[in-house]
Amino acid sequence: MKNDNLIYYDIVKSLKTTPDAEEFLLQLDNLLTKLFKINPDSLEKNLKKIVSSKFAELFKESFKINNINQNDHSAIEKFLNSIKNQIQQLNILKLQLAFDPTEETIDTLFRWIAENYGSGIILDIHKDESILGGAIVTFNGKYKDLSLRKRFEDTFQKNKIDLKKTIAR
Amino acid sequence: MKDFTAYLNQIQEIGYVEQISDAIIYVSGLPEVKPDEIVFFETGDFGQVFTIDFSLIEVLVFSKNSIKPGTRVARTNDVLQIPVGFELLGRVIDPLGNSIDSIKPLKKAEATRSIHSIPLGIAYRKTITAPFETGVSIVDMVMPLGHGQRELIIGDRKTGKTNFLMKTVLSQARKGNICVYASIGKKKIDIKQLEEFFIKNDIMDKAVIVASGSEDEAGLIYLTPFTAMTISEYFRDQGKNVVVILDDLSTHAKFYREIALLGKRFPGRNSYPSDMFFNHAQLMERAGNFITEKGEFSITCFPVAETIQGDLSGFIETNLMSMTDGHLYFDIDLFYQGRRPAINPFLSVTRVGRQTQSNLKREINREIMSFFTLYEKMQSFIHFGTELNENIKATLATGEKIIHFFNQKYQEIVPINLQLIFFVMLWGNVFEGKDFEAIENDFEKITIAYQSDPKIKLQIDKLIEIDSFNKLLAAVKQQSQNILKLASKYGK
Repeated sequence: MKNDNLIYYDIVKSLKTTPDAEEFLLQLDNLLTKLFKINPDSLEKNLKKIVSSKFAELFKESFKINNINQNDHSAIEKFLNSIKNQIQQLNILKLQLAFDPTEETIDTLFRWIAENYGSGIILDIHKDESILGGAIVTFNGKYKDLSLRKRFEDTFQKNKIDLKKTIAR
Repeated sequence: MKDFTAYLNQIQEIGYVEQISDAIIYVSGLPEVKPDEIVFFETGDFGQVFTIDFSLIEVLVFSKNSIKPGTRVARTNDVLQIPVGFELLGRVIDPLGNSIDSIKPLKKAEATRSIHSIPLGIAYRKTITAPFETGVSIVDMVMPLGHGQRELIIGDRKTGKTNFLMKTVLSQARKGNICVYASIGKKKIDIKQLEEFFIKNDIMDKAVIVASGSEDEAGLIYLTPFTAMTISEYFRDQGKNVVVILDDLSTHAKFYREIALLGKRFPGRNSYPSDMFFNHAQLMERAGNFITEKGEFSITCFPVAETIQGDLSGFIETNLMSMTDGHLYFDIDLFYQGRRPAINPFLSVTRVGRQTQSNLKREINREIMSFFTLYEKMQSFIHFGTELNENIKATLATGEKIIHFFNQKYQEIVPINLQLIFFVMLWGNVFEGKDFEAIENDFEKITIAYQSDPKIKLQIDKLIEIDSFNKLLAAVKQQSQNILKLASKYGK
């Protein structure tokens, strides 16, 4: 990510998968709609009511770092919209796995990607048992089938005649 | 063609459908896709890359199946290829090369060809020298054409353009040439009638009909003339003279405009895209007289354009005029006067046809054209009635006879040598005192005799070998009674 976006770094870094990003964007939208209601609650109250505790802490910290006045709703709106924009621009790496990954596995995968390809990438994980094992990776229009199913298919295709003979015996 | 997964695994690039706007589908991904490349949708449909933008690719689809956003797309690393081969003869196919007639399925083609090929360069082209016979007297005698010529057929709707083209196809197929008819966005009934005409006249084995219906997808209609031209090129390379008819390019331009506007291209004159001229010119460039590995063979092209109330100054019409070697103008006024074909010789042009004519034909051509000019002038004296002098009266009477002579029945074709003899007979007053019905009857008898009696055919063909009009006039006057006597056995 570029340097001028570092202010959002903590928030963006905390989003690892597309469901995370969707949930965060939903909460952010709710927060935005509450900002300009008649007799609005204080931002503190809204963060407590609408936003999950994990994200509420991140928001508070960001406001502090960026010197956002919590009573200036226009500044808050501008700030939230820029975060929203940033999240919508994240690159998605699509992973098809044969199992449901645990939080720990997702963490490991996310960290490995961030270390090797940089930040700004989130995971879109789908479970497809038919691939048997391995993964199908789709990123930036590139497609790589690294599944066990593909391995088997290739092996069967390669040794078709030998296999037929073995079965016939 | 392979299936979607096979292409995905082979090329290892994926795209997703983002937006759909009728024939154009916007796809994200596919980072290394090329212009004109064929892409495959996971639904089994395929399309051609139309434009490549920074974030999205525009794909022109060829099927009417609904494709939803989110559908996966794979590259094929190949441009659109259509099957070509002699098994296409006698068949009606769609622009993708699939059979759409009711007969048995199409055999596997000998080869495939890309529909967008680069036209052969100047080193492979030769001057047009062979005359092209249409079987229509006014064209063969007044507006002669040559093999490899690109002649625009232009006129209002229902002025006999298709009828003229059918006669041309009939005439050429009987000479053993291959005819490729592109029916662009026509009604299904018109396509069926065309097929039936070919079957009825026993020329289907020399013809291929490439047809797209008006209800077909715009992408498919857009491809029709390109497919027809690709098939023509194949037969040319196999050592055949080909006639290709593109009926009609006004409709083609309208569908291309629809696609371009959907693709958000900037609209130019009459909302046509800026590459409209290029689109048709690249097609016209593929026709001509060529030097191939098998010798000198030609693709004679007849693009058709429809005018509105005789307006020749339309965008598509003038574009086509500038990229062809002349045009035959079907005049609605002449059509209402009962002239068939309603070709206006004063507004028609042939740029290369006259160079293919023999001395005799050129002399006759000059004679007719100067007479037509005189006759046109004399027409303004008609209202003087009885006060006209004998000379004017004679000119008007001859003019009427000549005009009548150029009228041809529906689907009637006349061999060029007979056309010349008939004209000379008329000019030499051989039928003096006879009304036109009797003259027509004599013509019919001579035609049948020419087609069935080798002796008469030889006699007439020998007459045409004479190299001057005056000599021929004298010879015909001398032999006409003999010809009429011999021919009297034939016909009614």
